[in-house]
Amino acid sequence: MSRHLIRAGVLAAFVVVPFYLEGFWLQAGLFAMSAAVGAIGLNLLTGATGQLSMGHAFFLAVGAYAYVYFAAEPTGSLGGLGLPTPLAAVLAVVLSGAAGGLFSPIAGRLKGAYLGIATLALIFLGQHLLFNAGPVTGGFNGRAVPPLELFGFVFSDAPELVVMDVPFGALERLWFLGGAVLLAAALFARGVLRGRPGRAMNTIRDHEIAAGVMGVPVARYRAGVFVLSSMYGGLAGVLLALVFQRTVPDYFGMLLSLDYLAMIVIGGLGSVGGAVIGAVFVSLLPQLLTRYGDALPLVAAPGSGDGVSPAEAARLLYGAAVVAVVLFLPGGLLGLLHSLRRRLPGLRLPLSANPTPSPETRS
Amino acid sequence: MFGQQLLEGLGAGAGYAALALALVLTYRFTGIVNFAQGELAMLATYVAWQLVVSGMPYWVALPVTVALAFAAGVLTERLVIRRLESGAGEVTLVVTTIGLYVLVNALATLVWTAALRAFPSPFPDSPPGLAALAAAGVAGAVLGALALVVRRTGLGLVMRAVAADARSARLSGVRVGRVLALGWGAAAAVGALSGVLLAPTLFLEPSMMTGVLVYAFAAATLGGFDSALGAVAGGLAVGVTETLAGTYLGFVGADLKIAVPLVIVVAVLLLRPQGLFGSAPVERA
Repeated sequence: MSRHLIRAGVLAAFVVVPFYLEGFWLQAGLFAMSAAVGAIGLNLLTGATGQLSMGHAFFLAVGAYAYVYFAAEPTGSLGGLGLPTPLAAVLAVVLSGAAGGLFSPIAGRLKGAYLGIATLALIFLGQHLLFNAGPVTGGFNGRAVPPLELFGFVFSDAPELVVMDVPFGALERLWFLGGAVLLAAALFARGVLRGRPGRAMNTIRDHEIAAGVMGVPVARYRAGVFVLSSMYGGLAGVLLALVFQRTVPDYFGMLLSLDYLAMIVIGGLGSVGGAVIGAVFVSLLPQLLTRYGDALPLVAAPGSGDGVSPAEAARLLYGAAVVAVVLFLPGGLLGLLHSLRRRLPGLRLPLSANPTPSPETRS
Repeated sequence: MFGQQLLEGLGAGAGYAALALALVLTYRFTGIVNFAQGELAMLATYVAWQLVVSGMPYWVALPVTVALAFAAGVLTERLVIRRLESGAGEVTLVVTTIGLYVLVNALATLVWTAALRAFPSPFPDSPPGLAALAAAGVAGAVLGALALVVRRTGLGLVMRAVAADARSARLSGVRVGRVLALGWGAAAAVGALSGVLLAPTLFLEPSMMTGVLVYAFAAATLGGFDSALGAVAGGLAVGVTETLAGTYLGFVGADLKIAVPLVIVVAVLLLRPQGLFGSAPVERA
């Protein structure tokens, strides 16, 4: 009963937020939602299956740019297919999966850190394509993102819409779309992790030979999870493009891949909740520093040139957070919540009853 | 022209070989693929630059830097890696080094800013080909000394014992913890050498070693991740291939040079995962 109450409370809070928060925080929240979708995908691959990927940013780029290319009308030197935008979004996710599929013969045969080294290739390939395939990607300047239009409802500022005296612009409308996408992505991943595939994936991570002996097709699973995780990456990319309203190639570099790895480690490896918590932490940290950096020593206002920029300060902090978490909180922030709940039985936290095993729980 | 390119390739290859050797040392002793190796080298290179700029002669600054890097490597092992050893999965270990990567990179940006800086060459008056050859010579001398220590001394014997089987070594009375710290220190020192060797051509900036790390991964993969000889041979091979491909294959050019090591990595991992000189792992369930 109480769990239903908590869920209803969370839902109500989520619905109320866009009526009160200003655009800056809505955008930050949307970034966090898109990051959470991507991090869930990476956690399926890295946390649950033990396959390191440095190439997650590549699949985000594929998703974002494919959506723009499919949805945009061709103008001047820039190409485009002008498809209906929901179809473009679905095709973009499918294309990310296909890109993952092309790489999956490699992903299926390599394990752990070796896959990490091989996926570095994707980052450099991606950067090269983004900068040089001008007619598709817009090169150095990137491209404007056409707003999504679902059954005649446009996710942009254009046709004015006022709900209960609050003007509903692009961010307010996307807020609900992002929430729905994240919920669907999280539920699907939870289903995968709790069922037969999830057990097989964890066994591959913990003991590859044992998994093979028990009849798990190891290479096929590795390849399959890689494709699934790249589709999550593509979906996160589409969402990100819609929020940014412009795609820029610089963004999809190696640092973005490292951000995603930091997210799943800080939040907790191998679970959906961990991915979401980590994504919120890593994507809100720079925004918090941008907003309240003036109050902190050393951190400079953006563009002023003296001191550290908020983005750098945030990287310093979350680099340190990764090391601190692996040293002192092996289960990540989610593990911290679980142990808090065990110590304080009276405290009810909205978490699943049986946590997914983290790598640290094995012998 | 060809000879010139070959020399330049060998010079760059010496730098890659040194970083690849650092990766192999870390991997052999602790079983960790250290993604932060390049950043530790970058940090050491900044220290060397700071020393030279503040008036220390180049040939004094170099050993001081290498010694400081050694200490930093030992400290990293003591403070971070050792606390993780028991029970942490491979992904956790690797991601820890990625956390170190981000941390060190941000730290260097904080202290020295992201501006490009010129790094003094040890041989300012000689033609570039000769300087590259001399750099390769310096690297070769240090690597040779390291090989002598590992092959011919009691310390080397202990190190090899720990690398082969840490548990048996501990049972025979070896202080395994110290040897592991020593391994990380040696890796950091060799990595620092790589940074200093490559800095005159790459220029000094916080992300200077990102590309080099990719080359070093390629070198270590090509040679075999558990073979020191393989790392050196792989580094030289990658350096020469990359330089020649950039010059003679029109479609590669300067822009796609980074693709060369990545193609090598993927090809080796698919065709001969243990590398040219490495040993294939045998697992018993």
